[in-house]
Amino acid sequence: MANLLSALNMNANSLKVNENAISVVSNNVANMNTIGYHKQTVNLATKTNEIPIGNSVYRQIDSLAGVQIASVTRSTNKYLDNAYRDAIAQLANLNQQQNNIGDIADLFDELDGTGIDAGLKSFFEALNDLNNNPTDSTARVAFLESAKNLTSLMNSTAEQLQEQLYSQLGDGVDAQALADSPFAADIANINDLFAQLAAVNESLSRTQTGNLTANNLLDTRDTILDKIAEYMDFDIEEYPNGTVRLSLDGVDLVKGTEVLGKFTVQTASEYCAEQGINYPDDWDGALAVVNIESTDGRTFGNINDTLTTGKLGGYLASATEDSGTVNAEYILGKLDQLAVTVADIFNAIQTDGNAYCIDPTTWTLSNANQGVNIFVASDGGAITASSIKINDDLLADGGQWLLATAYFQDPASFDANAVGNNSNVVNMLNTREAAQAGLGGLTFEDFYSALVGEVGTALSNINGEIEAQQGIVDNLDLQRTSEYSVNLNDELTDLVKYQTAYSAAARVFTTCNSLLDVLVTLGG
Amino acid sequence: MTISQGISSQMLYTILQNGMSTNYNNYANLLAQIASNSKLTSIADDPVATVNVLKTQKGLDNIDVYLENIAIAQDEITELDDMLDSLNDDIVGTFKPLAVQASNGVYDTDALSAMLQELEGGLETIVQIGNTKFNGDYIFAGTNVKTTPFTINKDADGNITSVTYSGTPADGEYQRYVQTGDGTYEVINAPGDSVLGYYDSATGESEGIIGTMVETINALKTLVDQPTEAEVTAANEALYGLLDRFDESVSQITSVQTKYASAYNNMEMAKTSLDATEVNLTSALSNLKDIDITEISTDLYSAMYAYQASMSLLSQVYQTGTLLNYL
Repeated sequence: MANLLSALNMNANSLKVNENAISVVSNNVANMNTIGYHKQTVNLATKTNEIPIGNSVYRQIDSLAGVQIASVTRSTNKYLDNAYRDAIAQLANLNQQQNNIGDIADLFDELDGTGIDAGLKSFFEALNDLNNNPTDSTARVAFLESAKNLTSLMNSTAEQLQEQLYSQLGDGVDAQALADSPFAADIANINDLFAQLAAVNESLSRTQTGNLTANNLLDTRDTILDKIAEYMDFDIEEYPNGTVRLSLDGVDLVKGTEVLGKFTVQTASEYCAEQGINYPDDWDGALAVVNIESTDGRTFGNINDTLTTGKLGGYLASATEDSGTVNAEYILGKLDQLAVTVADIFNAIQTDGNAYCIDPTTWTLSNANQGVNIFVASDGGAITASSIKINDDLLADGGQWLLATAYFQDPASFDANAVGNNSNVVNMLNTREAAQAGLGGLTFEDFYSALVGEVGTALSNINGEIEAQQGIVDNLDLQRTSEYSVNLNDELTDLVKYQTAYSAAARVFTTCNSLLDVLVTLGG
Repeated sequence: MTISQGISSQMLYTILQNGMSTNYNNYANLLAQIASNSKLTSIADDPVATVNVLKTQKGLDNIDVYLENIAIAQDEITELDDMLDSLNDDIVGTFKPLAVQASNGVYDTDALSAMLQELEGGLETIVQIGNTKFNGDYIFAGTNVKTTPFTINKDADGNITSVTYSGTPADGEYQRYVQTGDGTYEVINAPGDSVLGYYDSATGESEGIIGTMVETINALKTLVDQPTEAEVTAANEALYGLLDRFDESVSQITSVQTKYASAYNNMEMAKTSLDATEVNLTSALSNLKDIDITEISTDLYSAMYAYQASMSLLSQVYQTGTLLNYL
């Protein structure tokens, strides 16, 4: 009788265990498409009544207490998570760089024949026409127009590069521009993620108080950590209660239930002013500076150098001088170099002491070209790609005649009537194939096409790296999906398994019940 | 792709989706290449090829420019040559025979006057030829293309005192250059003094066909003015002595023509080599960027089939479903 009753109890327990197991399966099935969900597995174990057995087989049977759920474990693999987070930090970094270089490459898409390369070409073609007709007003105007077109191409490319440079981190001076920038928005996102992580930490510290894990909270925690990894590869340390400590170079950002460090940004000029650095001349960092403000009142200034990976690293690389990457700043420097060299070379030829322009009223040569440069800076300062323009004197009415077309090697052979002398134009034409010291020994066009090649190569390299990195991420992601996410067939099999066990337990219950009936009515 | 654990349902869909999107990208990329007829749709596709395309394109554009330059220069030389041809014809066919006739001493004053008039007209023609313009510039003025190169100056009696040349001499500093290749130039201007000569009674300078003509005219004038016997003899001797100078003038003109003919031929050769280079560069450019339509069509079909296959696979997996369908 006692054994029948204990068998009944055991069955009731078995029904409860299978019921609960089905509830875990149901949770798995419900979350089969939830991002970040780790499938959970019911671990069954035998239940034992701890009684002294001695030599009694009946006591041995009495010690059998059926089944129990030992734990519900969550599929997880710390190594895989770390590898995945490293990989997505790298991928996000590359993606951000690709964004930047991709925008620049669009500006340099010379294959459609509309960029600076085409401008240089038509400039020299117009110069050739001028060489054929130095006394023709139209040829002179056409040359000046093509020179003007070249300068506007340089201006607009430089302007767009400048915009591109300022689009991510602001212009380094304007605090409002920085506040409105995508960089500042992402810094805010990170701080928000820190807060979310602290909140999950808090929930975990309240719930995961024993040996069993708070699986769904851990899912939430890992999803947040995955998101944070996209921005930067932080140091993560996990505690037994499931909470994590997030730090960067030993500086705690999130620990326990609190956010200990917050990211703040300031413009480079503001930072330089605080540090007594002469901005922008002595500053070769990025246009914005990231600091960590600690809740204990300490500030860790300028952690830019630490932020090398993730999306944050990509942002900073795109707006740092001499960062070793092809960015807008670098390209602008190259364009300035080209603009200055073009201006210097042509101005020198135009204003050479032995070069002469034409006075069209008398058809004689004149030295009115002396001191009249072809290329000047629109702001009166140094010539750059954004400031280069054609001297207004040349664009004024009749200004085309100030172009020096004649040149006498030997000043003694000067002949004021020699208006057909085109030797100075020949001098200008010869610069086309000449190695320019200002351009590292390259010709104008070779320098520019090398620049286009450099941008193309940078983008193509980044594309290649992204493809490889994407492969790594995809592979790790698949491995994680394979380990963590739900296989419907497995779950359905489990369902059938637990259902069968439930039915069997119910049948045993019925049998015990009828046996008890028999027992109660025995002898009656 | 190595899969360490079992395949979860989500993973199966991810794999299928990734595969489908890769196949779709390949397919779309090939379509873009066919639509643009270019292998290079961005400078990042092949940076080295891009730089080569730019350089080749520049080479091709330069060839167009040089060919155009050559055409203009050849036109000018042809014009110059035609002028000198007709001048030579005039000298050999008209001026020299007139001088021969005048030097015979058999014609009367009326006849000599008529010859004088004809030779004076001839001198005008020569000066006109010397003042020929091409594209608005004087072609026999060296680099002084806007200054009338030749002027006839006469004294109060209508005697020619000088025919001056105002162009530049045939010196290196006064040449007009036309670019016919990378860094190569042809000289196209003709200094008129070396072709047609000049005359100045004050200094006694008398060169070329112009000097010969003026001296012939002056001698004829003496004859027409019915001078003394001694003057007639001197004039006839002078005329006789001038006959050779007509021939010298012709050979002087011919030598200039030869020089320009050789410049013309140089340009012809340059043209031939530029044409050949153009063909080479065009084919190089085509290799760099044009798509191989046969190859790409084949690729397109295989990409399309792969894409269709991945779509049908996905739908099959959905149809096959899971254990759920059989419970």
